[in-house]
Amino acid sequence: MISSNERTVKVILLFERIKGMVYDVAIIGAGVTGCFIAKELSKYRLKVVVLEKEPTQGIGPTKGCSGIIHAFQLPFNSLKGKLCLEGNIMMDKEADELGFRFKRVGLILVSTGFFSSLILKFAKLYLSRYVEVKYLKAERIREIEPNISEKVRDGLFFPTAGVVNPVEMTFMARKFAEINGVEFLFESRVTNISREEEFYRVEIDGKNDVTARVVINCAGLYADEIANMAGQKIRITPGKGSHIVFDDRDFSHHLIAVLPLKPDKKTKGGGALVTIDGNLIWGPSLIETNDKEDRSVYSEEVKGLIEKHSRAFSRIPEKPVAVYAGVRAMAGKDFIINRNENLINVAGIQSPGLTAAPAIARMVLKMLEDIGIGLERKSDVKKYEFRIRKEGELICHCRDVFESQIRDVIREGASTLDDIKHLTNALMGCGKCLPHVMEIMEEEGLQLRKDFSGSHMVWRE
Amino acid sequence: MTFRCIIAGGGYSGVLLSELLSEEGFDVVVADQYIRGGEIGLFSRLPVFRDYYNEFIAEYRDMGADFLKAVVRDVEGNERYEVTLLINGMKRREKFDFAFICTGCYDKNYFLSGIYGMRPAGIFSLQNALELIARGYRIGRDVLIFGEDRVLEVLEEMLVKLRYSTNLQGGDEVIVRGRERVESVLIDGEEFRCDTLIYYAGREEFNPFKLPGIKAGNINAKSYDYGNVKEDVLRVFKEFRKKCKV
Ligand SMILES: Cc1cc2nc3c(=O)[nH]c(=O)nc-3n(C[C@H](O)[C@H](O)[C@H](O)COP(=O)(O)OP(=O)(O)OC[C@H]3O[C@@H](n4cnc5c(N)ncnc54)[C@H](O)[C@@H]3O)c2cc1C
Repeated sequence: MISSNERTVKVILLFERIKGMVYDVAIIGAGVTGCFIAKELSKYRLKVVVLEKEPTQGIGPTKGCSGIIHAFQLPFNSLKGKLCLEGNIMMDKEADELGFRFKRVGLILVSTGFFSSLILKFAKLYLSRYVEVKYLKAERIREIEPNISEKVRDGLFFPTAGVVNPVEMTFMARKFAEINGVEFLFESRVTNISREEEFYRVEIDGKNDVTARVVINCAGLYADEIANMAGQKIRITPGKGSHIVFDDRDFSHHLIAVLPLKPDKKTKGGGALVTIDGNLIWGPSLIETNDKEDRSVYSEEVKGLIEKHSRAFSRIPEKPVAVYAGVRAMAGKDFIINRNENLINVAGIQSPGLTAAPAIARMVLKMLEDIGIGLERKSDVKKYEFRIRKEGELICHCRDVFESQIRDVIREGASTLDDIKHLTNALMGCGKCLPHVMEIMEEEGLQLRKDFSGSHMVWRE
Repeated sequence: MTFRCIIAGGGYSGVLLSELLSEEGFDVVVADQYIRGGEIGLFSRLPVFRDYYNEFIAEYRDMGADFLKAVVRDVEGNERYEVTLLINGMKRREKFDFAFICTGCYDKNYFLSGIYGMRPAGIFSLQNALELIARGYRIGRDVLIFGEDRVLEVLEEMLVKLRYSTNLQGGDEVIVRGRERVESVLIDGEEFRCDTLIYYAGREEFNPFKLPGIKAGNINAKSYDYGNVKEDVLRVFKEFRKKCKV
């Protein structure tokens, strides 16, 4: 016997299916993980939607991370260790396909004492089974990094480590997915998930429900809430990481970390890093917090970072321009990527989630194949071209950003001040161009928000 | 023979220097991206500031200069200068005998001003707050002003006049709370409720292209006290004249 209630559900489903409102896949969360899965799925004949609670992509940990494409992640036999190695290898092709900048600047692990120098030699033997690594004498390190400390005895060089702009990387994945037919619904917070027949009904705060055959949970810090909605248990604990940014462009050119690495096992301990645009980032740290939204940075943390990383150098960099923190979503020690019926959890994507993103997407694709969703590759996959003109007025003198660049990124989908900042580099220097950038945002019809849904900066009288 | 001078920056300092040099018989061009009057122009568009800076606004208005709407992008050489100008996005090179840099300054960033904690919307440097208000925006409701400088009292008076509620506090360090918008700040341990924070802890020279040349005005004074700015221009001018005579 079918109850009348069930019958109504069936009729609605049928109706939505005819209208095309039933999706094959609903991805929850437009961080780097969600966007990379979306771009991978966009190559197949599937109807895909991405649901994101904020006004734009990659606004959580993805924006707050350090932008390193790690050469490796210990332990090698963990899921994150494997996906990190795979993701690193895939990155050149991904960067080429999606059009984001990726530079293998290399990591130098330096020793400053007799013992750490000894450890280094053993580490090389072990690591060389998995990654490309070269031994460097102190003189050679000083040759390529003149500001390195006298105390540095020797080091290991990992040429495959690289850097990206995480916001750009995520944005380009989103754009690729979008032009290949994936729908992105921003400001769409998922509040409930229920299973109806062979479908999931995904409820969205203040908007129409979405119906999908498969749900992929990429909700980062809130992946536990999403899993719980579907009756599954995951626990995410937040782990904050702070950074300090210097505009001291010739200070160092590689990623540099000092042995011993461990103040804490859960991170590689951070390092003296560089960005794709040549700034320096020192960090991240790992600080316990019980608030998933705790992106605060305190003066003691900054002092700690400077103390820790200056060990490798003979001086401290000049011109600190910013401090920021990101919050890691940790579910124990490893990533959790599993399937329960047709709900796929991609949870606990802590570091090195940025590096692993393409490999995670490939793994999820394989899981969809197992579900039997019917993967049929499109013959006409389009490539997204990010066309930015450098014309009109010079808005940001510090980073050479022109008015047309700001208008172009807005027209391409940047929707908040921080999007514009990270995609054009405007506001990355002295910050004096803020009012001008905001005026352009207003002219282009954007709400004047910094990053999150409620982050209004100013109002008109 | 008359010497050709270029002045980068058409604010108060650049125009005053141009006046002084012209009187001495130099041939002077003032290059500025906007012909808007720099910071003094900004003050003239704000109540209370308009009165406070009245003397300088009037002086600025009465001075003339040969303006060129251009960004001085590069200056090379030290005997004769080869100057790269950016005019409507097009590069143009010109030769000058002297180059003066009057590009002013900007407020120290939040980090150097002792602002820690969260970074939600609603945190403004003094300079940006003034620019936004002059452009007709309301920047919040309950404003906490952090810093110690005479200009902050002027700011407070203006905000009151514009129907903001304000609170001016000095101290060493601010910790901001709030996720999306400022909710409160802790100053040296004491909590103040507010939705907006304006900070000021001094200024730094604005010279992103690292233009070499003779610096004059607020690029040296780094101040909101235009008495100091004027003094610096006069000092630089005197020294320059002395050198030329020799
Ligand atoms: C300090 C720090 C430094 C790091 N450095 C590196 C590094 O150098 N290299 C590296 O490889 N990795 C690094 N990582 C790790 C990397 O940043 C993360 O693994 C990665 O960003 C995770 O991306 P994600 O898409 O899984 O999650 P997120 O970026 O958190 O995305 C999840 C998205 O889901 C949305 N969402 C949540 N709940 C809902 C809901 N109910 N409805 C709709 N949407 C919802 C969120 O708004 C968010 O946009 C670092 C992390 C941190 C914190």
